[in-house]
Amino acid sequence: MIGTRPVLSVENLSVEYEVGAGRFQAVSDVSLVIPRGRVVGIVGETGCGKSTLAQAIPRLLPEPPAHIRSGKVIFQGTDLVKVPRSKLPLVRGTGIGMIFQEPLNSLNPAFRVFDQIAESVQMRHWRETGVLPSFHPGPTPFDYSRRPMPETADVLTHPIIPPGAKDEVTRRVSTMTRADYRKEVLDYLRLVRINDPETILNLFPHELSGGMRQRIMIAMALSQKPALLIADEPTSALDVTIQAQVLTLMKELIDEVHASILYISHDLGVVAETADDLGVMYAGRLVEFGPVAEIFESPRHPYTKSLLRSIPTRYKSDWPMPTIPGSVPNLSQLPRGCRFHPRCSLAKPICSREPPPPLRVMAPVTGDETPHKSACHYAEEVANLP
Amino acid sequence: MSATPPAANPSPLLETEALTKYFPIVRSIAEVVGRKPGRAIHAVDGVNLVVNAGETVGLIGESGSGKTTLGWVVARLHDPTDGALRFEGKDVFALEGGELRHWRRNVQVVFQDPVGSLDPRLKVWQVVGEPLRAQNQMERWFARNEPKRVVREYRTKVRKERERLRLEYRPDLKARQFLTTEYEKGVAQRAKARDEARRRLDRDYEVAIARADKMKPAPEDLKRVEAEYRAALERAKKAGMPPKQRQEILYQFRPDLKERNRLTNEYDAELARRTKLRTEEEKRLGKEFKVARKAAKKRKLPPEEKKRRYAEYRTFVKVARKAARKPKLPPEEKMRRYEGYRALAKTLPPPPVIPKIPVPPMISNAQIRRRVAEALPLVGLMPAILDQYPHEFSGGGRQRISLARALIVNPKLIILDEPTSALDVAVQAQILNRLVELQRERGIAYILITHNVAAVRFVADRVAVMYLGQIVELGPVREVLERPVHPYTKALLAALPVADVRRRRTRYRIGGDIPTLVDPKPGCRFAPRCPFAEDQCQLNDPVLQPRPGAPSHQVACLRAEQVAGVSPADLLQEGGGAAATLKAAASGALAAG
Repeated sequence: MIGTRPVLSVENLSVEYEVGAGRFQAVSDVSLVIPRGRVVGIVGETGCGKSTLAQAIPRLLPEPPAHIRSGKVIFQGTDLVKVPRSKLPLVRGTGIGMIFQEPLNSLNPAFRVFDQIAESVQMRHWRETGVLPSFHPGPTPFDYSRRPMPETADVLTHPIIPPGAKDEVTRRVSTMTRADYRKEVLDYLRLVRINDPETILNLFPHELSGGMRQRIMIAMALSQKPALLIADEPTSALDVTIQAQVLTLMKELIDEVHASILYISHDLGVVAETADDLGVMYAGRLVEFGPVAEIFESPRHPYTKSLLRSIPTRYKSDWPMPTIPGSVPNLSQLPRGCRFHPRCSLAKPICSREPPPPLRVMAPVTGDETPHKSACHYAEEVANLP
Repeated sequence: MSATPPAANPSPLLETEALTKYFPIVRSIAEVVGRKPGRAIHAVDGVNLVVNAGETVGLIGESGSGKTTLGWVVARLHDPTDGALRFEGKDVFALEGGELRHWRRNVQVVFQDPVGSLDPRLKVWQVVGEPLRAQNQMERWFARNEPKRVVREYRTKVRKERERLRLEYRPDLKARQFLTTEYEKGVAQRAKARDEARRRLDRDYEVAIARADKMKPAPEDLKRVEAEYRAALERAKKAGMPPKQRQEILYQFRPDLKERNRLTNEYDAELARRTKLRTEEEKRLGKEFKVARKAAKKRKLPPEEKKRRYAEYRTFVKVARKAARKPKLPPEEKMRRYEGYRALAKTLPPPPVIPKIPVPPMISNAQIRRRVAEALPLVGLMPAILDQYPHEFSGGGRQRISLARALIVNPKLIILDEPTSALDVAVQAQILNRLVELQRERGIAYILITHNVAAVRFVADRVAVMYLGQIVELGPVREVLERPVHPYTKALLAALPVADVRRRRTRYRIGGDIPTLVDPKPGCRFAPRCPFAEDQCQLNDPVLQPRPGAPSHQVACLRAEQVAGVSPADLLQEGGGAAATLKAAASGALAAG
């Protein structure tokens, strides 16, 4: 699966928020490549722009206040940044699935599980068959699974219907009955290993446990048959035992449905277990990217190194535990030069003057084919840090 | 306070005894009419926990294990169902009203959700200063009310004593009172016993029904059996069977239904029998009680004896008063009367010392601001943020504000409910460092409630592992985390994510169904999910017992010594899901050990 065209490539993406008088960059100059069938993890502290990045990729950010300043998000050959705002509903949910952190807040409390998953199955069904429901105001949603996205966004304004069959197809009515949807929804619930799906189907989200809700979210995301799944802290709200269940499930699903995953988390333990490649973000920048084994074995950025060291593995008698002094800089008052230099033990005068070079490829330590890159003036010397 | 284990015999700061908290489930009308006993969620079930001054006890377990409920009951935010809680030897559950509020300064809570527990309309100094104001208010209340309370307490004692003396010369009243309380006690006792018996009967019935259901034909045979039954029925109808026989034919084919019917009939008959028995018994006992009361009335003292005793009592009062009023008697006479007074006064409680407590002045906003500004650096915040609002802070900042609010009244115990679960590793490390540092400086005890084992490892001296409302393992943190004994602890540790790519592997997943907390069945609560469970585990309740050779390490497991040698990593071996493999591992370890 690996080696063909990447599912998603993000090139120099910058996202700004305009709040009141000020504007600050939550994501600056981030480049990422997600190959097919691979899990790419993103870690970083709160406020480093992880979630902004996750929502900017499928264009879910409210614009304004958010604004994509520059860069490209190329998904299946199409630049999503160029899609005009009025056409966004056509793009969403057609190839990128999203799993949010708070399953309770992302499920509609007024609808039963069946209705919520069925809606998403229905959307996919309409898209695949070219059926236009009578109440649907716009043109047919675009279907990535059938053909590559055209290069220019203008084409999106036209329904993608086989030539010569336009009238016939658009007037076709969906023949799916409620029973058909029920069958399909049950299949997806079984896919995410829910016991007794017939009962669960008729429950409301508040009647389910946290792990169960998260599985419903995953089932909803999968029912769109996405090529890329963006998971924004999917297990942070769960118990370790439930977390283990959900993670194992996600890993099994990657093999079953051949999706790639962009996995966003602040839990290094979970990422070490799940991801193949790992990106580390700090104050809106991607400071290090590479195969997960390589980053954990020989981090090439002082921030990654100190982050790994502050994982508590000690007893009280070994007090204090190493930590990163200071706190994450406010995005409206970023330090000059390298954004990490006020908290960095390796900082030299050049770090406060000049921004670090863009991600540089380091000499590989393990044999993984993803290059290991770091954005630090002294990337080679990081290994010698205590 | 140092991090070394506390001295050999430290006085416990907090001690719980069989602490229990049930949340009752509202009964439906059908259940009330059917006289079904009420059901309850057993959130905390018989927890014995000791927290010494200046030490940290970590509580770990999955959600729903009762950790938070236990913390809330200990802080008296929930009223307990049963059990005792002593704080510095004082019974906390007996406190009420102002006394309880005055006690609250000893125990503070850092709540799970820093967003929900900080009032968004209050500024930082107001949020953090709130406990100061409350404490000041309660100190003023205490200064004004403590003398009154002491007097009130003394008067109650004297009144009780007088009542006792009065009953001494009215044996009829005494006997009647005794009979009434005994009768009421008996009624309550009988009701409780009946409830118990009913619960046992219900369970036996359910078990018997389940056994009967096993006689049911297999699903694949069901259609065939039904067809045969219909055929037999047709045949019988043609042969002109009486309608009553229909059931008998059905029972030939479905012995399970016959058994069910028999059981249900028996059950109903038993219920009816018990109801009848109960009515009769209550009637009889009520009659007996009335007769006894009447008889007690006649138990008056003979008039002269009554007069004598009463006169004795009055003389004592008179003599005592005179003695107090007129001390200028001849010394021998004074001594004689005084002796008499002493002899009788021994039965009366000694008069109290009425404390004189100066009422502290009301605390001003300026004072609160100053105290808050002093407290903020303790948790690593700048005093300059006094006038900001909680929403302006990140998760870590809010957590620090919550911590400052708990610290400001100098509590002896802080209950930390998931203080770092919403935080990043770097901030988490900072806050955990701070907690340990504060404990060393001020000797505060912590109860750390979390499912983050890493935090418990770093902050706790001892750790208690909870499962479904009970403590299953309790011991020094190193001992429990490195050599866990209880299978649940092992499973929990094996399910942890490890930030180490070399040890990248599938985590252990606990199989089986989580048993319900609604009136749980007897037996070990972990047994249905336990890879080492045997038949005895389903039947007998394990008790928290010290391990031989390690009195500080307590485990509630019937097979503790057999499974002690199995390490959490053994649960992860290939094909580890099969109980057989694990049992083999257990017996292997047993053979090796």
